[in-house]
Amino acid sequence: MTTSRGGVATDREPTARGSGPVLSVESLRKVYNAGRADEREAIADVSFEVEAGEFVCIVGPSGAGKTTLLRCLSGLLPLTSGTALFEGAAMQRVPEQVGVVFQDYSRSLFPWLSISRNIAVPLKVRKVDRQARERRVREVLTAVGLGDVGKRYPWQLSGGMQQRVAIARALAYQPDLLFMDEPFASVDAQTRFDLEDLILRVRDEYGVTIVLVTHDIDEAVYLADRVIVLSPAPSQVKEIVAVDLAKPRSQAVTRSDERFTALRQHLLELVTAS
Amino acid sequence: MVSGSLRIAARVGVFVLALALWQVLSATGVLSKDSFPTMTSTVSALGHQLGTRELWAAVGQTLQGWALGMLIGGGLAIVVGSLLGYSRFAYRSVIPVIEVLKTVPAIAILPLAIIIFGATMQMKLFLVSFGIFWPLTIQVIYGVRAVDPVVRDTAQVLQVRGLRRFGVVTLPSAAPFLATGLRVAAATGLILAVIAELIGGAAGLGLGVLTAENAGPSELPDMYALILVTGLLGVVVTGAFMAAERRLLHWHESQRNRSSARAS
Ligand SMILES: Nc1ncnc2c1ncn2[C@@H]1O[C@H](COP(=O)(O)OP(=O)(O)OP(=O)(O)O)[C@@H](O)[C@H]1O
Ligand SMILES: [Mg+2]
Repeated sequence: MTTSRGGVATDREPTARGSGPVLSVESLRKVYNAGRADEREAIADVSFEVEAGEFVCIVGPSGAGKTTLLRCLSGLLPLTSGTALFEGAAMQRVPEQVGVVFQDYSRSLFPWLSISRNIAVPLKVRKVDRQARERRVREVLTAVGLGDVGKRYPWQLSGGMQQRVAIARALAYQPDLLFMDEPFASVDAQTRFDLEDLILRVRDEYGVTIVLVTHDIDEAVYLADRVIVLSPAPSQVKEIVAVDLAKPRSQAVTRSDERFTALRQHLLELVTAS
Repeated sequence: MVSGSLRIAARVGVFVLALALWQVLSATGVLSKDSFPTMTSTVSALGHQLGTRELWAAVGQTLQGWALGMLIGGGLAIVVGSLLGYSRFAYRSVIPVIEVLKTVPAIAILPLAIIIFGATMQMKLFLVSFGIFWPLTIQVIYGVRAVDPVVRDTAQVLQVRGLRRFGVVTLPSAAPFLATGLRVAAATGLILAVIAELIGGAAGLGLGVLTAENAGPSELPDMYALILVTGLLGVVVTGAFMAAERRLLHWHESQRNRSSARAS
């Protein structure tokens, strides 16, 4: 395992919640069905840290264990061994200040609730009063570029719009750390570009730390401050690549940068060489 | 596309045809006069009865037994089913017993109910509640366990727990199962209420049928009129439950785009 983390340009100061990393992962290992005939080691040994305000992308071949890793990191799945600390503490369950946008966003939105009520769910849990709730719902819907869809139902929206709603709901309670599992995998190319820019803008607006899983190397380079490359399952960290591209990024400029092409090439070699 | 008015016309047509067939068969003696009154005499008996207080009192007694039985049996089924559905251990331990009890026809306990309660409203309630409890409990258990894994993860991430989780996640997930269960239970419950009256002797439409039958052939049209009323009640009850289902489950795949046009 080699690590090249020189010159990571974090353009924001870590927020005032302490100096340590938001997330620190040490020798994480995950075995499904341990001790049974169908035992399967998904993650062998993964270690890395994520600093406040950072945008980290995780790439790896299909079946590498990316979803498994994200579920372990967000507290949805118990680890087999190793540690995953969120803001310095081990997780018994999903911490309140963590958000997750699932790969299967259409199933993640509650079809029996309107868009506003979907977004209001985490706010009600946190006892935000009605007026503040309505204000926050309007605010996040605007932030993700959706105007007047509050009264409609998830299944009445297009895939791209549903994904925006899922992002809005995750932002509504202002988590410190947002996990996203291949969030733009099932939308068309144009929508995908729009959503990538959206998430970068929202990151700046809300100052949220993001860990995003993708199998699209271009996307990883475009979005990330650092890219973590996983080997095929049982996965290990192959390399952590610092992305020293200028910010703010834009589809037209960033993607035609020579540095972009070089990083992309490097990552492609890492991922395809198995 | 068959237009709405044509569809209604077809239904009315079939209905009229059935009535005409009844009239022809009974008037020509194909159906024995001792057991089948003519359609016209039955309808006129029905017309007469609709104006009497006895009929409406009987309808009221039948519906009361049905509604209270639904409330008791349904309420218990939702509570018990939810508890069993939540706990895998409880579910595993109890489900074989329930599967057996479910197959015991509710009629089989009628003698017991009569011995304990006599020909009373309580007997009717007991029969209706018992009869709908088991099948409905099973629906509730399966419903509660039918929460989509992605929805379950989402609820965990959004910190939706405890009673709120039940209201926001579990109940809506189970609702399609619950709706089917309730619709079937409503029809079964009505049948059981009438049986409790017809065989068990509790007051209501069923007892009316029994009394008319015992009064001899002259009362035959009255008996059939009461049977018709019972049938109509069943249609109304089932229709009401289906309408409620359409409203409450408007978000579900099976009901989408029925009333409101899909946007985008
Ligand atoms: N619940 C489970 N039980 C047993 N094995 C599992 C389970 N979930 C995943 N696996 C296995 O663990 C490995 C990693 O799966 P995972 O879904 O994390 O991969 P992934 O990188 O997200 O794949 P993709 O890119 O296709 O989404 C796979 O080999 C998979 O078969
Ligand atoms: Mg995956």
